[in-house]
Amino acid sequence: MRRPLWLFAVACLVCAPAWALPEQTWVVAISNNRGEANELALLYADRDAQQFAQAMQVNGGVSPLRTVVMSAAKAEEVRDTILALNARIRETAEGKPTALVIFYSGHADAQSLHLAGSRLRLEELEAMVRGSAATVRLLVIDSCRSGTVTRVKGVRPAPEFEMNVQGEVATEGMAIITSSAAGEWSQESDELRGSFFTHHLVNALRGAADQNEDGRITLAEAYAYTYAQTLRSSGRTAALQHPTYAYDVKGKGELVLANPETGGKTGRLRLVESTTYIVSEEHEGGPVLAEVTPAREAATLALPEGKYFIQERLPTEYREYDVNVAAGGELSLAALPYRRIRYDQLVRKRGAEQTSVHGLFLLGAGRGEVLPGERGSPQVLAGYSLDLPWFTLQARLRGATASGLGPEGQLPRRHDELGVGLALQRFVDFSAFSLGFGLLTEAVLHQQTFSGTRDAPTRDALGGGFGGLISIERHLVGGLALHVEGGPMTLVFREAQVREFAVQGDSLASPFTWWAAGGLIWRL
Amino acid sequence: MAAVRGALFALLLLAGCGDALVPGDYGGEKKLLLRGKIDDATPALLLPTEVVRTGIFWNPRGVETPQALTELIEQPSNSRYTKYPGGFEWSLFDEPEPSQRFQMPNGGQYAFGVPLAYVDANSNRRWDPGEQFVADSPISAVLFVPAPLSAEDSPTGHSVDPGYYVILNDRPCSAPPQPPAEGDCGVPLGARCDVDRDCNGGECILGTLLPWPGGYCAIPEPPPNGCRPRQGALVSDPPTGKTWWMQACQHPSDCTRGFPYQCELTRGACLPSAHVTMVGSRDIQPKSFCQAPPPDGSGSPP
Repeated sequence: MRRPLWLFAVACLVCAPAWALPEQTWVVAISNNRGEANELALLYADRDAQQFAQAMQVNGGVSPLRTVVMSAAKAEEVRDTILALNARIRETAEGKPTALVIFYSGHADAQSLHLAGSRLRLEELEAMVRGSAATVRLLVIDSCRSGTVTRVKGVRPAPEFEMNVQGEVATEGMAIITSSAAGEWSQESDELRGSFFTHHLVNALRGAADQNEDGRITLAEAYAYTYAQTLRSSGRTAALQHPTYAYDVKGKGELVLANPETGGKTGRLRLVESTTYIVSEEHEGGPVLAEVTPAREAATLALPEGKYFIQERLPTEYREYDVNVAAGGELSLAALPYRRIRYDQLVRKRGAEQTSVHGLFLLGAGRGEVLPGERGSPQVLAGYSLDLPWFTLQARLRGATASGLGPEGQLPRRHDELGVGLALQRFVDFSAFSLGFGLLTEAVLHQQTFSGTRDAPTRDALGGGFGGLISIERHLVGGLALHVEGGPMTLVFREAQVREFAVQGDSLASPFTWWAAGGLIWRL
Repeated sequence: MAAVRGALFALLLLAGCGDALVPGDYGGEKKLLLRGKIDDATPALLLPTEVVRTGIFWNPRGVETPQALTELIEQPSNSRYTKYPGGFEWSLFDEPEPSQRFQMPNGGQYAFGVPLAYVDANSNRRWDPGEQFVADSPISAVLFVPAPLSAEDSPTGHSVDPGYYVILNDRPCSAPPQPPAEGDCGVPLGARCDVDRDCNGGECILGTLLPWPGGYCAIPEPPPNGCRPRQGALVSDPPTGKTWWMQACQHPSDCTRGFPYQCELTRGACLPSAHVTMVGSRDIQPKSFCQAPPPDGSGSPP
């Protein structure tokens, strides 16, 4: 229900005037992996601050000379730095527009930032930012329970993102973005090597948030994207995380935080669908640079020059690209070759978010002799397939009919089989095909009926069967694949001992034979 | 492993349920099993093949002696390839067709056939004119009764229940008068024996034209001690002219000694007549269902 509303809100921004960050924009990126003594050390807070600062330089055009990165910072150092910066802005502004962007990543509680045993009260931080002479002030806090700061006196909290924040911060004022609501945890991801919030905020600045295709990332677009993606990412974990936004502004217009097209040593990568992309450095399995879900189709992402492995996660398959991004260059994924990875393969590689793939199959089959004098009978095999990370489970229904004439053609007969079975397979996926091997077992209902003038009653029997299974699959189109399988098999049943064409007794038989089948499997 | 063992155990349990499946050579539920042998002629026939075709040839005129073998009708579905010479087990699965049965004026019917062996020269699994008959049975025939037959209608002279039977076709043409038999005699008729004294005053039969496996206690006629058993049946052996009092029977279940002993319908006695002996010959001729007594009348009961 929310998505249409905030889409509408963002769409309204299209018609608003936009203002880029002024030349004199200062960025202070503060971080400390360590908080209070009883708090578990964070792993990526310092990296978050570095990534944010770099994104503001590369995509936001902020000068490195006006960027301060404070890793492992203590409260006193932060206080001194901000106050000093405020003084400098007052001295150098000379009536020109200025901006101050304060970013913090680290531990906090509802009252204070926790900086390696020292504390900086949120009210004090907010007051320092508010008291800055900069015409535009942006405070971004990525810490647990950071939403408290959006409730401090003087800023209007936006209770939900749907609130229309159309450009009111552009000319003068203050905005606060936090990574989580009051009382919520902010989470880090080992896979992303950073916090969910900062990761998505940085991707937003790289271009993923560009909703209106103007090549610029406004504050509202960045927040909208970061809010949605942080919520989605944290949705896979135990605790949801809702970023918050608050503002205290004058004037009209949109504040442009980044213009990815103007990056320095970056290239542009035009994506295809509005779906999730995993951008890994160098190769598959390399460090994840970005997990982005662009706000629209054909969005452009600004990436540092280099080699990337990109996984495009479509509803029916994954596509994998190897991309070389050159500084100042532009690539379109649509024009690049890719490897198609079906979901069943992904499940089996344990590389997909979903852990199972359902399928239906229909096969024609043949089998070697089981009863002496009975030739291999044509069979139909239908079933349900469930691909799981470690194996593929199949429920199978098999029907078979064999016929014969009896000794000297005197007793025409028909042998029907209905088998219900289970198969367990382990697939190995190659580029052109998948090879599976496993075991199958089934319960079989047999019926032998006889025609003609002789006295030969219908015979109904239950039996079993088990055997080995080797299969080969070749993907055709969509979820459809060609499937061929076969293997050795033993059927167990009571077999009559016949002497001089008449039954003399019976015994348990377990003939060893072969079977083969081929047909189509359709994965849903 | 426990799951695998459990699955295998379940399969074995499943496999024990229901009927046994029959292989391709299953011919149906047999009506009659003929067990016996084919002896070569003397001198040997020197056939071009070791395999002959044996079949039941039905006489549409019942027990009336045919003029020629060509009057008999083979039922190919009941015929088998058999090693010559050699033993055989030969199951009959099909009932004689109506055209192969003897129709009586009163509506009753039966089928009477004789086993014959021939060389199936063209391998078409049926006898064709010109194909050589090479063996027949001197004393065995097959009787099929589709509905109960009274003693008057039955060619055996005894009432017969529906079914297939191996019978002897060498009974006397005219039933000899049976002397009164009222004694108990103490002889275990039909019991196993090795020597006469095993029979408590009776005679231990060890062989005639038929094999008598295990011996057979009987009382010769006339009895040495004059005692004729009232529970016995008087049976003559036309080839030898001998006559004995033997174990009487009316139904197959009355005879309990097992193959080759059975309730022989033409005699009403338990006899080792289930074993079918065929003998090779260069000149197979139609046989009469009954045999006249020897010209001198020897062996006839008093």
